[in-house]
Amino acid sequence: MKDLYHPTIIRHSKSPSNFREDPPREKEVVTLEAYNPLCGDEFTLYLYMQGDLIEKVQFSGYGCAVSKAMTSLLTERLEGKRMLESKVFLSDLRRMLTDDGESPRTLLDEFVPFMEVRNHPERMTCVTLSIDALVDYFEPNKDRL
Amino acid sequence: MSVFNNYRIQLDARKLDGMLKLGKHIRKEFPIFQNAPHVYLDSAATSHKPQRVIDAVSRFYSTQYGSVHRALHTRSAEATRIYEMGRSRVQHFIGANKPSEIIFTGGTTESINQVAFGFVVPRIKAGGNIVISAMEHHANFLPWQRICTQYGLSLRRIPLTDSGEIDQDIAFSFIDENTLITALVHVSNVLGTVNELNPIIAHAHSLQVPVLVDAAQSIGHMDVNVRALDCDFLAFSGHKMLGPTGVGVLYGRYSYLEQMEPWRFGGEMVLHAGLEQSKFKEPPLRFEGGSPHSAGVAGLIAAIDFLEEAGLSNIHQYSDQLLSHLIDQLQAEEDVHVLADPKERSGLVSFVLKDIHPHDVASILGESNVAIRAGHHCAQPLLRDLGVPVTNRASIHCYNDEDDIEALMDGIRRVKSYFH
Repeated sequence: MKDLYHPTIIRHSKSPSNFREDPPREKEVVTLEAYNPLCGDEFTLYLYMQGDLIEKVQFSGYGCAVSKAMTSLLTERLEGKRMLESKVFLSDLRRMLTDDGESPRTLLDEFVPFMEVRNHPERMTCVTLSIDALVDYFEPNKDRL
Repeated sequence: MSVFNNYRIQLDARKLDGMLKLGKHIRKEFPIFQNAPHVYLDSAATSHKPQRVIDAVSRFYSTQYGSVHRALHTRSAEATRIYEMGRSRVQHFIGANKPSEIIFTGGTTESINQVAFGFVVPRIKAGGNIVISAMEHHANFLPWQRICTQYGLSLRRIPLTDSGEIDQDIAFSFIDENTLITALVHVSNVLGTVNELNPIIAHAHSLQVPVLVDAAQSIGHMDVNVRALDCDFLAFSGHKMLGPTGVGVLYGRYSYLEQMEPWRFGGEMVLHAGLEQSKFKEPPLRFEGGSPHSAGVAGLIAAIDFLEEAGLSNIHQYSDQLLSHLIDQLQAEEDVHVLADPKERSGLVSFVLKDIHPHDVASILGESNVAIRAGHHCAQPLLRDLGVPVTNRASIHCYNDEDDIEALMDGIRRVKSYFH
């Protein structure tokens, strides 16, 4: 369990990037809900889009250290990506975290601490919560299973 | 179980030393603690089972099994005998007037739904209301919310006092001549509050309003007696009182059961099935459509045996002492906040750690084999009132002792070391 609470995860959970208390006022911001009915974790993700370019991502809400750290790191990595690039990134990331057979890609190095969740399947939804909210937005018809 | 008798002697003699270790002896009767050693502080979710309950279920299938109330052969007769014996045992266990006031169900949820859809719905009148409290489990909230939405009734939710108790004054003002039913929890599964229901029930009865009590968390922890409570319905599950899963009870005052409609139609509940109209059996059988969980009832009898031998007053006293000890420890720990401060609490306590999400707490505790609950405890409206999305909850039963509390506190200190 200590491995799951890697310093990267603790750091991001204690001082998350792009975290805000209240929703933004701008009307054009894309708002995504990431809710886990199992544990009550609930984040709202705010995507500032310029055409198909993600200019900035912010989030508010409440969740455990793992889900919060993941959301924080996601907001950093999605910034400046285009839609297509984001889809590939999220798909790679999800596979890396959930699929035992796949080896991690080097470009996703900073997400490696989250791979420990494979040893704690009961915490899997903590890492996939915000990823899935984003995948649902970018690829609304994608079958996640 | 003689240990509890010794415990009584110790109490009498005011020899309190070592008393909080009694659970260790009781634990020997629960095989899961030998087979998979762990510190179990999640009995409010479900309790472990003593060997004799497991044996009773096994014996039922191995030597006594057959259909209940159906066939003329010996096996069926034996299974029916055990099943009906279960009804009498439950009757005496909760102080009901007759066995026919006991309906076997799948659990508390089904019991409450039976009352909601079989008893309340047929009595609905325009302008009616249903009264519950702000601390109900979803099982005693969602059926009523559903009915109120469907039939345009108002759902009155009695707020809590600052100490986490049902506000009695508001309860009195909410219950009126248009109240179809008042449904209240005996012991809160989030706060542990033991609700003082008698004054509310007396007030409801003065207006001819029936009262249902959700006893899921009190049964098996204290003496729950329908005559003392003077309730009209009582719902509980077997699995939280050391019994098997999948079996529960609905007690109903017989005069009300006569008015209650069946909710599950099918085999065994009908007297005469005609092509256009059918006539149903008398209570309680008309409410037990389909093959019942007879093995569950066999296990429930063994659970009642166990609880009665140990003595519910002994269990109650012991767990009160242990819970006080647990709360003292939690309150003495820096950065731990205990929720609510009711006059009387039973079996469980909710708490939060400063700036640490309850899921992280439960997850890290799980690593050292300490099982507690983290979540909304199926009481989201209450947690919303309290301003916390989720909490940690530690709950105890007769098999816990002070070593379990120590393991919890050690674990909490380790959680803090991860984050601070």
